[in-house]
Amino acid sequence: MVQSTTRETDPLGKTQAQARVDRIRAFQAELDQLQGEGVPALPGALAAQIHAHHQQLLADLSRSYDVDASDADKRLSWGMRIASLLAALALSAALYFLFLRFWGALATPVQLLLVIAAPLLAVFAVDYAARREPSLYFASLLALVAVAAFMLNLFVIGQIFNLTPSRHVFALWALFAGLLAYAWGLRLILVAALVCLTGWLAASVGTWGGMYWLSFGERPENFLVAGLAIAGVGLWHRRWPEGFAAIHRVFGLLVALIAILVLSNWGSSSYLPVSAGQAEAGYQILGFVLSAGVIWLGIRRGWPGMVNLGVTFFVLYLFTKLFDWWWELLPKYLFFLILAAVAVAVLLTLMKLRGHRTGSRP
Amino acid sequence: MKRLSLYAVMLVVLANAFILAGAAWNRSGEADAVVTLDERELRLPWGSEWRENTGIVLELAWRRADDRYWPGDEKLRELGFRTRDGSGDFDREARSGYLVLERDDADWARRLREAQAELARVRADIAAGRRKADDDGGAEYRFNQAQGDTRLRNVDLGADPVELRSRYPDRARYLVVPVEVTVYYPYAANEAGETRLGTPSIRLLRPVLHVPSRLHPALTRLTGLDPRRDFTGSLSQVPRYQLDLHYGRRYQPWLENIRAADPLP
Repeated sequence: MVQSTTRETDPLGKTQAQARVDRIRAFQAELDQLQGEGVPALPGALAAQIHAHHQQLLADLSRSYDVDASDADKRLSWGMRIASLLAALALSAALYFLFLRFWGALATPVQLLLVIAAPLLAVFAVDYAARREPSLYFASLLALVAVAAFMLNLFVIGQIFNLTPSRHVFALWALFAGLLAYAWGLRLILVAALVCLTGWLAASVGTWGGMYWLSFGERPENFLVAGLAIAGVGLWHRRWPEGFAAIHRVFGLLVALIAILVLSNWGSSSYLPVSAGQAEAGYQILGFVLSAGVIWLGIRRGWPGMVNLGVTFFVLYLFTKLFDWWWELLPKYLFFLILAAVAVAVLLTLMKLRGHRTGSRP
Repeated sequence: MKRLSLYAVMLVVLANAFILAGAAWNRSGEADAVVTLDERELRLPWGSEWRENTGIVLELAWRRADDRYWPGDEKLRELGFRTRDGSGDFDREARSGYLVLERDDADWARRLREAQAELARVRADIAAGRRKADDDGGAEYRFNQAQGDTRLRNVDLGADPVELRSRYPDRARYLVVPVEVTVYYPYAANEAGETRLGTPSIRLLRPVLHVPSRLHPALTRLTGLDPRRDFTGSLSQVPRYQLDLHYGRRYQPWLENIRAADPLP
């Protein structure tokens, strides 16, 4: 039997279980391949013993963690995730419009009771769904509805009492979504929490600079600080469920790199006490350095998400600069030929890097 | 239940308790202002996007001074706007502040008299054959506009609401309202050739006010509209309703005491 010390819906346990299943399937496939090529791999008795042990493991893991036991299962899982996301979004929209449709006929205490009860009931529903279904598709769906219900809750109270808009509602939404995400290991809800957290951090940075918080979108550096803070937490914190640190890192760096991309083309929006041109030049250099650093760190630590992100933005920055320099000067065929050559050069560099790491020639 | 999900439940309860306590505190004690306004200032919103929304809001309409540079550079600096290297380029991001609005019946009456006099002149010209009968030059439209125009006008702007209230102590006449101020066209010069640092845009942080459901029947009766069926707004030239607009201790507004509007003078 599997020595499962974790609870059935423990995200760490499920991730590790899926990784073990993938390793077992790879091991079996390689053994079959070797057998087909006529290479004696394992003595018959030992092979049978290992096969029996693996079958037992797969059965236990499948029962305990609802893991994908085949490629077809994995493809279905993606479909189920997309379907549950769409269902959650549609259900949240239905909740919002349902309330708007009828709230005018309700007395204020009843309005308050409904909007406060909705997120509470949704949290209990998430707990119920998570107990009934280890794969957590319905729990994730209901958790997103719970977040939407809490958003509706604070929005409606703001309307009823004509409250002055406050950036701190983003912190409350982020905290609520974060608690649900960490309670059940729900990655989609973690992304929702990080979106709200980015809003709150960016608005707070803007407020510290003296602006009214609703203008926080005017200065991309507000998002740069927020993105780097979130990525920094993901880089240094190691005790989270597997996958959560990666989401922090990639989400935070995505926000930071987009902010730099905007600043490198719109220097007048910078806080820096320099001319717009100087700010743009500075952020262009920073963009190249940061995206190259992201690639380096991703390769060094074995984080593929960061490598992909770094490469995407490095090429994006490069293309933006090439456009600035040569779009007007060069014939279009030559401009696109140069773009293609640059992309191939990046490809060759990455192949060389991969060759160094695996010890083979590219 | 998992411990973290219990924290989420507690967060919902505590956040709501905190917000409701703040709203109750805002409405407790003496209100910062209680000003009676009618349909000229509290207008039914236009548009069909609210067709599926049975909640009702009223828009608070105020009239801005003709000077587009109002309230001037000194007031803008008081709100925290800075210039860069003496270039006259104000920060573009918004600053928060407080706007003093006055219910100025005399100013409204003066503008109405002017529009009325213009309309009388035009009608006399038409009667005397000096103008075509169908060409009043927009005088009647301007008279109607003046009649339904808001009596609220801006009189001051500042960062400190307490100081503003001390300058305008009449709580039945002056509202102190939280606003967001943005400066546009920072290099603008006015018509007299003076260099001005910017044209401010002032936006109320709560431009629309929630009408509690207990006031809906009276609003429906007074306007003849059914808000739950089709409430796309209808601006009447003669105000049909009036309400008391309260601003509480936290400068958050609410509406009370709906009744038929007083007849126009």
